[in-house]
Amino acid sequence: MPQLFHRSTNTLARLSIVLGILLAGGVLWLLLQANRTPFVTQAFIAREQPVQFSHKHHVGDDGIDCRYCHTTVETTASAGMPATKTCMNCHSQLFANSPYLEIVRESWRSGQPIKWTKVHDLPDFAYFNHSIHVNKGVGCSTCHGRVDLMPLMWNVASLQMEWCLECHRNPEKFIRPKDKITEMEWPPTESNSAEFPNGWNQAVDGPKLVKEYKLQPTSVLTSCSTCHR
Amino acid sequence: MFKARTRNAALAATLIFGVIGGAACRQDMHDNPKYKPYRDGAIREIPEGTVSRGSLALNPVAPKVTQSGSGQNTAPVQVTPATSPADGAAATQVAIPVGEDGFPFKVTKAILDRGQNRYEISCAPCHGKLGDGNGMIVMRGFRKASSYHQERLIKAPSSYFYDVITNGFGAMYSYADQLTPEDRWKVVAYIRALQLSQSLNYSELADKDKRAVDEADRKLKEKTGTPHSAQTAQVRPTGGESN
Repeated sequence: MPQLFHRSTNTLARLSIVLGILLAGGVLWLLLQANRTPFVTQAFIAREQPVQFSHKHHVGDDGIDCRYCHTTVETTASAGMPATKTCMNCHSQLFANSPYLEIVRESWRSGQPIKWTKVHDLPDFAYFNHSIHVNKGVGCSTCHGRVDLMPLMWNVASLQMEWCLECHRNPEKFIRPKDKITEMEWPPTESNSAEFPNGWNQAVDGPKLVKEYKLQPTSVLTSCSTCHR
Repeated sequence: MFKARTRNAALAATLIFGVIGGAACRQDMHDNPKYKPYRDGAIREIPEGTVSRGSLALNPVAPKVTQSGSGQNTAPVQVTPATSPADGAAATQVAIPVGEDGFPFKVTKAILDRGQNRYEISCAPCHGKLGDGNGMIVMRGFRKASSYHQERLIKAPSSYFYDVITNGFGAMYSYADQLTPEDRWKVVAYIRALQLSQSLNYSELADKDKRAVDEADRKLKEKTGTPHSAQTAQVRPTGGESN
C-alpha cells in the first residue's frame, strides 16, 4: 500500500501544532493588550460635560486649589463634587451673563444639581477612599495627571487593578510630602525646588516618607480584602 | 474517538474565549444597582434646619446659622457668649477651653497652620494671600474683596468674621458648606495673624523674625532684582491703616 502522505507532512504536522499554540497565545495576548488600550479604558479621551468646565483655566490660570471645590477629599471616600453654589461664589459676578453658563444659573435657580459626566468611574466591586490616599502622601496628580493642563477632563490612568497594584506594591515610588498633595508639578523641577535644597530624590526620600507616614506593609496593601471588601 | 476529541477541544476553546471575551463586555458587577455618592437618585437635598453632628459643640459663641444673611450685615455684630444652660448645653460638654476674643479654643501654632491652610484654599482666591482683598478672582473682575487691614475689621470681634464666613457678606456667599465650624474659627485665627503681620513695625519684630524677613528680602532681590517685594511689604513702616 502506497503511503498516503509525503514524508515532509510529518514536519508540517509538527509545525502546525507549534503555530497553532502560538496563534492561540497571540490572540490571547492581543485580547489582553486590547483591554489595556484607551479604547477600553477611555484614558486620554476628554469627556463631554453639560458645562464645558475647564480645569486648565480654574486650576492652571486662576490657581484655585483643588480643595476649594473638592472639599471632602481629605475626609471622606468621595473627593466631593462642588454644589452649584460653589460655582456661583464667583460666577454670580464673573461671566454672570454668559450664555455659556446658563446651565449653571438654571441649576442655581431651580435647585436641581448639574449632572456631570463621571470621568473616573471605578467598578463598584472596588473600594476606594480618597481621604486615606491624600492623608498618606498620594498626590492628586499622581492618579489624575496634570489636571491644570486639561481643558476638558480625561483620565490618564487605566484605573485597572494592575495600575492600582503598581503603587500598592511600591508606594515609595509615588509617595510625596503631605503638604505637597495638590502640587500639580511633581516631582519638583528646578523652579519649585526651593524647599528641597538637595532636590527631591524619590529613591531616597520616598522610603523615608513611607516610614514616617506609617504606611501599611505591602502585604496589607496588596491583600484582596483591602480593596474588595 | 477522534471526532469526539475534536468536539471537546472546540467546546473548550469556545468556553475559554467566550469567558474572556464575554467578561470584557459584562458590566453588571461594575455598576451595581445601588446608591453611591453623586449617582442618579443618590442626590438628595438636605432638609431645612439640618444641623450636622458636632457642629454646635464647637460653636459656643457662634452667631446663629441662618439661611438669610448675604448682604444683610452692615455693622459688626457683637455676640455674647452663650452662658445660659439652655444655649450652652452643647458647649459645656466640650473640654476645649474658651480662649480670648470669643475663640472656642486656645489658639496654638497648629491651629494657625490649619487656619492658614484653609485660608489659602477658600479665602485667598478673593482676599489674597496677604488679606488685602486683591486675590486672583478680584483681578479677574470680581467686586473688590474687603481688606482685613481696614480699621473696621481690625476692631471687629472674631465672631464677626465667623459670622461672615457662615452667612456671607455683600457679594461673598456663605462658606458654611466649604468650611466646617471648627475650620472657620481657625481661619479667623489666621486672619487675626494676618492683621498683625500687616500692622507691625519692623523694629517691633523679634531678632529671629527680622533675620527671616531680611533673608526673604535678599532671596527675592536675587531672584527678581527688585529691592522691594510683597514679602517685605508685609511689614509696613506704619501701623495698620485702612485700605
